[in-house]
Amino acid sequence: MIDKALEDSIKEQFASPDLQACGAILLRWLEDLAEGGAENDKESIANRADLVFGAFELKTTSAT
Amino acid sequence: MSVNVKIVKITSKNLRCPDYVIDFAGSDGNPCPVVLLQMPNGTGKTTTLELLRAAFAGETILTDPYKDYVDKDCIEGQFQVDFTNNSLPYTITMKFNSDSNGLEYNTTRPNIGISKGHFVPSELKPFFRPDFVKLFVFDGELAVQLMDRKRTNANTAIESLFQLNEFNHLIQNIEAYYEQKTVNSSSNTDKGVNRWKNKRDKLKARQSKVLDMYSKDKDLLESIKLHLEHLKEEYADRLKMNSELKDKMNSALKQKTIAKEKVALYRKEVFDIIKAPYTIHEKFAQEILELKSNFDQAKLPESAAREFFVELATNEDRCICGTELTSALRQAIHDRSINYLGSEDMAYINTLKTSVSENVSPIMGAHSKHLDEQLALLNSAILEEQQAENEISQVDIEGRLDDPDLGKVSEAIKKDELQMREIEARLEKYERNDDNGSEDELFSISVLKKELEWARFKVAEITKTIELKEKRDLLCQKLRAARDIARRKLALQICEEANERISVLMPFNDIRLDKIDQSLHLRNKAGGSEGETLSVAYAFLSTLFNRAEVSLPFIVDSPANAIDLAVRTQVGGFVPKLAQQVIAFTISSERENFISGLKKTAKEKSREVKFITLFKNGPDELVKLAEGQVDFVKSRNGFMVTGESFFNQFQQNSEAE
Repeated sequence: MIDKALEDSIKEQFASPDLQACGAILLRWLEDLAEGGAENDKESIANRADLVFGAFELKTTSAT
Repeated sequence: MSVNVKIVKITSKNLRCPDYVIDFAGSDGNPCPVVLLQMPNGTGKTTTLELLRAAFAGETILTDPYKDYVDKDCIEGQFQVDFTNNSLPYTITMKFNSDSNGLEYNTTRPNIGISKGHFVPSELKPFFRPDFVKLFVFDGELAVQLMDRKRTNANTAIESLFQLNEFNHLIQNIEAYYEQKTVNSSSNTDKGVNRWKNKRDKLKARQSKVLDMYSKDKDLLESIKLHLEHLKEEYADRLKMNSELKDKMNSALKQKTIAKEKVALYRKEVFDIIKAPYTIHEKFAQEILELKSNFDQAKLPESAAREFFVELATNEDRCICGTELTSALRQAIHDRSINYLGSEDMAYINTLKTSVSENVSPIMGAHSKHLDEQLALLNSAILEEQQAENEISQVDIEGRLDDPDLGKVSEAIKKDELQMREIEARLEKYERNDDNGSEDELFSISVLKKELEWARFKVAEITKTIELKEKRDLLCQKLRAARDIARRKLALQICEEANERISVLMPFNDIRLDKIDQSLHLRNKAGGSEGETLSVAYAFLSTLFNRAEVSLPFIVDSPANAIDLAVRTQVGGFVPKLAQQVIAFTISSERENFISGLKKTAKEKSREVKFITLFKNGPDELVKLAEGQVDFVKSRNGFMVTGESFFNQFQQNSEAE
């Protein structure tokens, strides 16, 4: 578990409907890192980052 | 909770404090939530706290690395901390040697066992850093440092406890992913992509232009060929009228065709011969033969390749002579193998030598003689072709005299043939497979196609990289913003909660926290008294430890010593709330008002309090009193009594408080 302040700050930054999925993936990643449960090898990081970059809608973000 | 540390036991032997094994277990066998450890001044409280910090943080935290912690009557001493993290047991042992002034760590970990050195589980690393250990094995000086604007202890505490550093970890992962994805990309800038876009567009325009020119030239060539055919037919028809001239022309044309074929054949042969340099000049032949001779004299290539020695040094137990291969011999063979040629080099030299033997004659003039013969044949064929041309021209002149229109047809044929050669030269430029120059100067259709494909690939690649870069930049920007917002919110909330605690601790004092950034800032005040500073620090740390998802023990020296009697009850009541495990080192003069407040809160919170008194030798009455207790342990140089009654009765006259 991470403190609510951390959770809220991510949700706030990724509040746009197009970015909520990306924010959720990042939040989960942050929680796993904080819990010590996130794999730290290159492949696992790449898999997580693939999801983050894939869910990150550039057009919406650039426009906002 | 990923971090839940409890101290189970600390052991001291042959050090400058009494030998002891302090067991922090409560009546249920688990670490007791509140332990009061009464140690008179001079018993080694400071030493014990220093060693506790060094056990968690490593020896770098020791302020004086040359301080001798070993008892003056001993050479070796040992300090050991047994603790659990999420119920998993760990032991850190520090062994001191006063002769060598040495300190050696041993760490015992679950599933690993004992290891030489100081090893901290990864999840505890942020909290077992020297600056953080001073927060929970509380150093009185830290209370002042928390309010020092030049220091960052308050910020460090918040960052570590609330794991704000994990935002940085996340950002690092995202940056590493981008680097990995774009490692082969040549550019990630708009300038880079625009340069390739310009190149692509120029190539596209040039390709379109060249294809158009190529198509037009091909059509033109076809029409000229057709026209030429008609002209030649007309020429032949006109020549037919004079049978003698017709026969002469046919014969000359036949001779020209045969001579042309001969020229092509001998020219090819001459070119084939002069490809080998030794045929051009005798000096080349001599030098090549000398090279082979030098190889032979140097006995190159050798009979064994480098790989043989590498294989021998790496995989064999014995040398080919039967000698056992030691690591030194292996290294020597390996090092010297570099003096031998590799198998690929050997094969190359062998091929070279064979080729020289088979092709280069040692007889002087042999190669130049052959070339001269072929050149003579070529010259003769060229001469025959010229003679045939002359014959054709002669017939043409005679024919024009006989028929003036034949001349006109002949001129038209020559004109068409010239134009045809020019077009064919241009077509050759379009159809060849090599070309160089800028985008506007290329003619080769295949080169243009390849260049255009490459430019399109680069545009796509850089565009993708730019998109990834934009995503990375925005993601990192948002994560940094999220981290800063979280830090600000936490600082604000902790400030408010800490102020509530301060108001309980010191209801008649208006000292309050104004804000927390790198350090704690007091409202309308630069600093407070020793007691005020300590109370503010407790309030701050208590708020931190109670809010965070991290549970660490809180170990404090003389928690009430600097605090006025009037507020000691409040401070005492506050101590059990500081953390899930609180160990307070006290002296007898602190008990007044402090213990009552502490016990009251402990009772309210259903927290057991363990009372331990530790002292070196004292007056007979004190020793007798101690020996009369149920839980009494006598060590080489001290006494340890567990129990509230003795704790409250204990008073050492020599205690300098």
